[in-house]
Amino acid sequence: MTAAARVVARTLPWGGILLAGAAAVLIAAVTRDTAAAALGLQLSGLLLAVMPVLAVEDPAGVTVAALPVRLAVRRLLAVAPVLALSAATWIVLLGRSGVPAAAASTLTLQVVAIALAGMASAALPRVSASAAAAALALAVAGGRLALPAWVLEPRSGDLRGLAVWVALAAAGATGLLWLSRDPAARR
Amino acid sequence: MTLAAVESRCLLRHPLLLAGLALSVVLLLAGARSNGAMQAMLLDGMACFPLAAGVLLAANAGGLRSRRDGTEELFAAMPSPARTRTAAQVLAVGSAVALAVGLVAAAVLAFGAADGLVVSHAGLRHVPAAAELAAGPLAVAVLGVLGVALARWVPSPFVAPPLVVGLLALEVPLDVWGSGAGARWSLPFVNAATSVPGAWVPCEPGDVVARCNLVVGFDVGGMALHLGVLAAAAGLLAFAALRPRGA
Repeated sequence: MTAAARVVARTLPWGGILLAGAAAVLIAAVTRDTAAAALGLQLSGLLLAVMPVLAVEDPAGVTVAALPVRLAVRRLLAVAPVLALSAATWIVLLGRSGVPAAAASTLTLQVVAIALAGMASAALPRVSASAAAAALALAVAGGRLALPAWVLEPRSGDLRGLAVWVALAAAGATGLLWLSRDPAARR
Repeated sequence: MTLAAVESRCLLRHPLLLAGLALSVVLLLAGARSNGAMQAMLLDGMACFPLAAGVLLAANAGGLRSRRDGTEELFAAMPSPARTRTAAQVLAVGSAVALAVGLVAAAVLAFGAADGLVVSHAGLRHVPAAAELAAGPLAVAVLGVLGVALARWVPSPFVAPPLVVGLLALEVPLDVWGSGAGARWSLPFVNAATSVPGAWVPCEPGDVVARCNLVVGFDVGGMALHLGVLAAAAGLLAFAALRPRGA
């Protein structure tokens, strides 16, 4: 399994993953200790959520589908190292941001929900990970302006907003599990 | 021109552009129920931000299409050079600009901006100038051409999404919150409203917190200069996109 993890890690799009991570750290650093700290942290979280989304796509998926290792395991091997990197970065950014605990919890819920929904989107047939990442960036960036404040504003503490993010996380997790079954099991 | 028409159709049908347009319409509808300061900011170009982000991502995806589909070698064997296809993609951005013009026109009608928007609690009224109304569509052009140029010079699908997020991280504090900082003029979307010096607090124009929305005027001259900068940026980016690689 360790050998498999090493092989899978080698095939990941590290350029895009590290670029998203670097952009997240940069945004959080620029907005730290300013009025836009919470916004910066939210957008950093979005980019950190994009990182595991990029790991979902497997260009060799059709070729290795016939191997005994199940799709869910292969996907876990690909996503786990990126998820660990993303989560560690998020914890560091959160700790250094000085954002109140309540807003930090809401932001963490948002990041988890975005990551799960994004990974489920990238797992859809004929949807590339980069397209899912672009759609996520557009939805959150555009939504930050267009949607009511209670949806995306971490300091609003609105229960409707929390319900939306919990529902999105649950839908994302369910979709990801469903789409990670072996193709044979789906028939 | 036929190729440009085909590229325009591809761009206008792209799901990311359509999603951006939908978000812009939602923003416009929210603006119609908000106050004059918010509406003025939207007419200054911010209503086009989601559309522009969608155009950037869609134009970038269009520029990377041949690479993604593995047809670069096939196209290399054709009589027209890669530059022709890039030129068609740059021209196709014009169709998205037309969409942005329609969006701004709809916003003017929906907000009743021709009769003047009440932009402050003191009752100050403002009729958006042509320079302000042109800013959004021109910013859409800049970001669209940027998408094509990025696809040509940094051919990776992972570059454009962080760019959109980074742009929003700058636009919200500098423009949506109306900070009045000089740095805002370096961004594609600018809020031309000027507030009472020292009175600014980070708030969105629709907010009703104390000391928010102390708008005293609009820097229309600055916006006209900004249009010049945007036009120059669009021209330079188009030139960069069309410049042969390795030249």
